[in-house]
Amino acid sequence: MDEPAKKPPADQLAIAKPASRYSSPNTRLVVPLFITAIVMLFGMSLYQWLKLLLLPHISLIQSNIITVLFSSAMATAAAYFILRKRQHLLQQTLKEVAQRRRAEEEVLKLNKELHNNITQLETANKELESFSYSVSHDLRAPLRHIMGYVELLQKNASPDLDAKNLRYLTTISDSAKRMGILIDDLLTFSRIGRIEMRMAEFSLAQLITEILGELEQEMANRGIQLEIGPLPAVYGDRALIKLVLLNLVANAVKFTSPRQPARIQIGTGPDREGQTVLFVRDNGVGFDMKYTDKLFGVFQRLHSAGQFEGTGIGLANVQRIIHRHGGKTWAEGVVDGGATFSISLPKLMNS
Amino acid sequence: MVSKLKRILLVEDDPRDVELTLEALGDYNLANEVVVAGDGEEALDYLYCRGNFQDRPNANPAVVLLDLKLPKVSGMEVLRHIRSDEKLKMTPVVILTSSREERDWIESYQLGINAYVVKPVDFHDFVEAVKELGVFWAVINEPPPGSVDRVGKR
Repeated sequence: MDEPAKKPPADQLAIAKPASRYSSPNTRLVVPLFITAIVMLFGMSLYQWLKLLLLPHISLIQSNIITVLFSSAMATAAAYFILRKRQHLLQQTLKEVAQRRRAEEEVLKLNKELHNNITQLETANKELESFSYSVSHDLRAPLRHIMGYVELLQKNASPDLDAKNLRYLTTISDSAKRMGILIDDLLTFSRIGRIEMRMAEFSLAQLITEILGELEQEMANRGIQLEIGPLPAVYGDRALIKLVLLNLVANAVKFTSPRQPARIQIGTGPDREGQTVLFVRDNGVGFDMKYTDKLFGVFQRLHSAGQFEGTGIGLANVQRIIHRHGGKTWAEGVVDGGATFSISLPKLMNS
Repeated sequence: MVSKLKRILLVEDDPRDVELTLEALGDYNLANEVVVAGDGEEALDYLYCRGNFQDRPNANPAVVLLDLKLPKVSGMEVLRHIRSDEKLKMTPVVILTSSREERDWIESYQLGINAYVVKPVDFHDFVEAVKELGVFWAVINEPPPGSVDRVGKR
């Protein structure tokens, strides 16, 4: 994708070419006119020749008419041949001028389109913001009401309801709860895209220690074999990068649950496009590489809720955060053969 | 039975939220200490003892539980009125809202609220939050001078 530019880009050529030849038409038009003038002068002196050699008895008027006609014919013929020879060059020049004009129009059009796109993007962004605002305000209220009234109904009508009907009520309540979680996830996702980043240099090793502390409960009694390589300092928004790594490590913990022993490796890979590469590798249930595009999508899940819990927002958050940092995310996996999730981050400013 | 309870002004436009809030406060017998205003204008009428409330005893509520998204006059405007009024500005105001939006949260703190509570979606959490708010502001907290002191009166 980022091949070194051996030749200038096509659009540059299109503009540079007509510009360099633009001055030549002037000389091309002057030369034939000059030749034509010389031929005309030559034709004028023809009168002397006519009088001397061929027709000594013709009158001055007659010889003048002949001279004028003859010199005009010669001049026209000369001009015709010269111009015809140059015609294709002239046409080419005109074509180039037209091309250049078209190119300029194209550039203007593209500029205008770009401007429109930016305006549209800004509008879309504002719309998104007000959308998430109303989601936050308006969608949560009815959910709270559903759950509240189901709860009250459960409290008041329990003595009169059989087990089946009570289960219905519980299902309504659980579904409303799950929708609440999904809405919260979506709001977090939207906020991640909007909040201002506070960039600073920080130690990854320390961050990983912190994250492992937070996952203590999930990792307890699992006998997970942790392998943490030397980790560099990175430059970014610490809170957001923490969310990224917390997601990746928590996923590794979650998807290795059927493994005995579970192995999780955290380390750095060879630089990619000049960026620092970090990976989290596990020997968990893995995934089919043909779904790799879906992994980082919002609410995309490759496992059923019964197998592994989760809404499917985690990796979408990871990708959004890393993209905002100017990095990339990718994943490799084999079904039942573990998975490796990698992120790349731009290097420190001063190095 | 109730020795020293103070009035709560609940500013909430959604009757379901009102019912659920009163249900939650009912557990501590705080429900009948609540005055409900259905929009921002009604809340201001109550606070300034005008309109439907011109005959009410002239004292400020011990706490205002204020929703932000309200018909007519928004919660933020009500808050601005309270904080810029000499007689009302000390009244504790607790934002009780569905909004987790940063701008609401920051703006209301800038205007000098006493607490910001996002209504939990889960009913249990909601009941707990409302109960704790009610008990703290109407029972435990000593309200500023000029607030309703309701010793055994209705």
